[in-house]
Amino acid sequence: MEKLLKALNSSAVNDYKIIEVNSESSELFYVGKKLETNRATNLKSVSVTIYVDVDNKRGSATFTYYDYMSEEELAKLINDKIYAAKFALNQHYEIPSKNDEKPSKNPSNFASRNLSDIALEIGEAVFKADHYEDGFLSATEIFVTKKNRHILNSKGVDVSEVTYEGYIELIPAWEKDGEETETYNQIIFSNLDKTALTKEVDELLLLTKARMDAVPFKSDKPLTVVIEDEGVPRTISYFVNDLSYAKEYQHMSRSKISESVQGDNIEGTPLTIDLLPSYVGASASSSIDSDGVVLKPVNIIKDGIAKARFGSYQFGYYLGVEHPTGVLPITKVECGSKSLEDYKKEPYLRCVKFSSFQLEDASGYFGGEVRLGFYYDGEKEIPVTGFSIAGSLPELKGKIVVSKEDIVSSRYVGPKYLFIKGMSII
Amino acid sequence: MFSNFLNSKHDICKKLVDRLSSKFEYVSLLGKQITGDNVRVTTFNTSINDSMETQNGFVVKIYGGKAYSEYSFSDIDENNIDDIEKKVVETVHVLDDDSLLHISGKALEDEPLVKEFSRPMESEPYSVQEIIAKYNEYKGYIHSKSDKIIQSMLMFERYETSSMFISKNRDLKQNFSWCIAVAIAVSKKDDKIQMARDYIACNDPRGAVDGLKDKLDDLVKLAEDLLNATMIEPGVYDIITNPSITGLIAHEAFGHSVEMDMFLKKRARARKYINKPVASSLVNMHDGAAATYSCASYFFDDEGTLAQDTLIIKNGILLTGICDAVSGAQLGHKSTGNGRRESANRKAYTRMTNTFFEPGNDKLEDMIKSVKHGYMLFDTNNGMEDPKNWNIQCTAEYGREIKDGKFTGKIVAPVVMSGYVPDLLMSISMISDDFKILGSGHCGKGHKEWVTVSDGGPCLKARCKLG
Repeated sequence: MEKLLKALNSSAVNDYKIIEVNSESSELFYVGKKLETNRATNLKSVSVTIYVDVDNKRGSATFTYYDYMSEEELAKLINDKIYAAKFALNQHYEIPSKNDEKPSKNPSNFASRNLSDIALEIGEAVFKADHYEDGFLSATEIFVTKKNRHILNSKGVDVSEVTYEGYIELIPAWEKDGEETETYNQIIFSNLDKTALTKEVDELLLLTKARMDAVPFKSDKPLTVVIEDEGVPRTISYFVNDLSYAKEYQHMSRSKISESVQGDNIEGTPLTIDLLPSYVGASASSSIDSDGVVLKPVNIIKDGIAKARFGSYQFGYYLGVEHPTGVLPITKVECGSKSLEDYKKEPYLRCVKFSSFQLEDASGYFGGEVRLGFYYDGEKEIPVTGFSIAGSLPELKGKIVVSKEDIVSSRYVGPKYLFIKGMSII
Repeated sequence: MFSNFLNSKHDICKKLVDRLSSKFEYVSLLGKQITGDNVRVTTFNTSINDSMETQNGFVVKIYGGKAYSEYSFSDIDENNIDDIEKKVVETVHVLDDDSLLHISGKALEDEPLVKEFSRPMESEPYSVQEIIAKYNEYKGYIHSKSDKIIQSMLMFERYETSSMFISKNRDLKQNFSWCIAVAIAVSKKDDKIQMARDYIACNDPRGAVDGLKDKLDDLVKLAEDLLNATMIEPGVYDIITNPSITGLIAHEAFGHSVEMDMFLKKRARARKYINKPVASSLVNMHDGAAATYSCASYFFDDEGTLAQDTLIIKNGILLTGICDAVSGAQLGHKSTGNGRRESANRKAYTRMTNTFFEPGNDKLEDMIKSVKHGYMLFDTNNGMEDPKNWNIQCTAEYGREIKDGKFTGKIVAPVVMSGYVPDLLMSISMISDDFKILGSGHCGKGHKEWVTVSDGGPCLKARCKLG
């Protein structure tokens, strides 16, 4: 790092930013219950951004620095990037300056533990649930990662943080009468609770059994759809992304501060959304963003009304924001008052496993192929498959009802279910 | 040109392999470096970054009698070789934990081969300054063509891959390059926002940047047309796929199910269909880094196996899957050169490379004329595999309605294709005599492990549920 700092400080750059990430991981890859491969990594990466001012405009260029570079190579590389940056001029902006605020610690019970011990414990907890005759885990991958991120810039920012992540890719399968089915699952966390993990894996095995039993579903008319799993944060991201500084600067934002983000007539739940740096169990927790801004919670939507924008220091600067929020990793949505049980008065279609939930940010079209759903016929839930749901958020944004039940995932904290009337079933 | 960095590390990597080979039955080392630039000019911003493919690192692979072990690291020299050797041994010893059951692995094949491969760029790239000047001109042109365009984005990415594979018997080096030039136009009418995109992917950086200019008129027209797009009336229709959607079907709907690591995990329905019909007898499908020339055309894979051309479907019959070395060792199947890693920091899996249908004998205009009521589907929006159940989850950016053999002018977007993969493949009734490979894709395994892939082929006429 000394070599890099010396080269940058003796160059013609006006500002610079360095992001150094040192990471280590322990990884286990299973075929069935048997381990096929174990891996360990010990990695370092250094990303450098240089800023050059020309005629009250600012150009930048980002490159990767390697320790093996000689002083001569580095000096040439920096000069090449300075030359290039002079042709990538944008409206002038400042980078963050030194701030006395200290980043908070990211909560995790992985801290100070050997990563391979944690990975083996995760493996034990996962396979404890693999006890069914017709159901089994056909493939399981476990990653435990520790990252140490250090950000410094020419304006005195010098902050660092440690983050931890447990990641499991889990493929439960079920067999019946010579037929087989599976579900695809990711479990991401930064706090290990072995009992809760075994229970979650068990539930995923039983969901896979439900997919085995699922019958094809058709509906010619729109239904009340209950979205869960990855569909919930993706749908909510439509409202969040629209309030970024960048969207506003690029005239792409549909939302106006102090106005409703859900239209004039909100029949569903008026949304309240906060952005947070960290939350217990949410593995994306991070107390600083990539510019070194120390992050604090921000309320962006209150009771359906846009309250504030958020985003990177550069675009915040462009909009004249005195203290840009930085890019916050966790979205927290306030839960509602209705539970799934409350909806058991009329038929609904609960969509549990998507192949890949899609949201077109620009148009607001959303939906996807549902690999496992449950149709509630007024008396009981029947497992169903073989259909897709589709809708348009510009039309449906005021009809979304959020559930009382909540979940914590890597980047999302809030209602487990979204209830939406009037989605098309394909 | 092959990476100076990797060249400088060759001997010490060989030393590490030799040392470890005295302890373990099989040892190999992959060193990989990708360098390149990414230039982006938008209506509001210009940026210069490293290529998104940029990476640098090493991975050692060991078989010591139980399962396989790997250790990834960023650099190696005389100061840290002892430490790396110790870390590799520690990683292998994790397998001694009593709680673990292991597969019955075996040492990977290690046929002697010493060889260097190279495929340089086909033209001298423009400088960053020249690209930005051209892209500013393109940006102005896009905005001058329509007041409905609220943002344009032009991107150029060029990258050069060097990798070396060292084992007891093999010592391989390769170097090759690729580039992509992209144009995007965002249109807006009232509250409706739409996005149109086009690109050129090839190994000719100058041609890619220059050629993009010829696509701008159609791009703006499409961005305007999409503002009038409606949702399709759900139903089963005759479809004609453009090469992008043909590639999406080859890769996403079918290709993932013939990745043989999925056979091993009992995750692929295709394992039960070897030597059985899975498609119309008109269909022939390939995958392979040596099957065509595109972004996934390397000389050897990340396990040191030479690139191949695998004929997967012949006249509608599923002949074989594609395979990596570790899965092959367990299945008793030779690797087909499809062992690929996202980077040296990630595990190798069976991965597709260039995946495509062979051209047929039909003229596209005859195919369109043959449609009573249906849609021609254009350009991949997204897709997701379902190898075990063969459900289709593919989305086209847009479709153009055909009635009585003619385009009506109606446009629908986006268009979700669904159904059962063999039903779709069996329904293929016409295949055009043209052929296009789209070399701009990235493919994940599940939701991670991204590698560059190409796909494509001719236009297909088939029948499918759309929504």
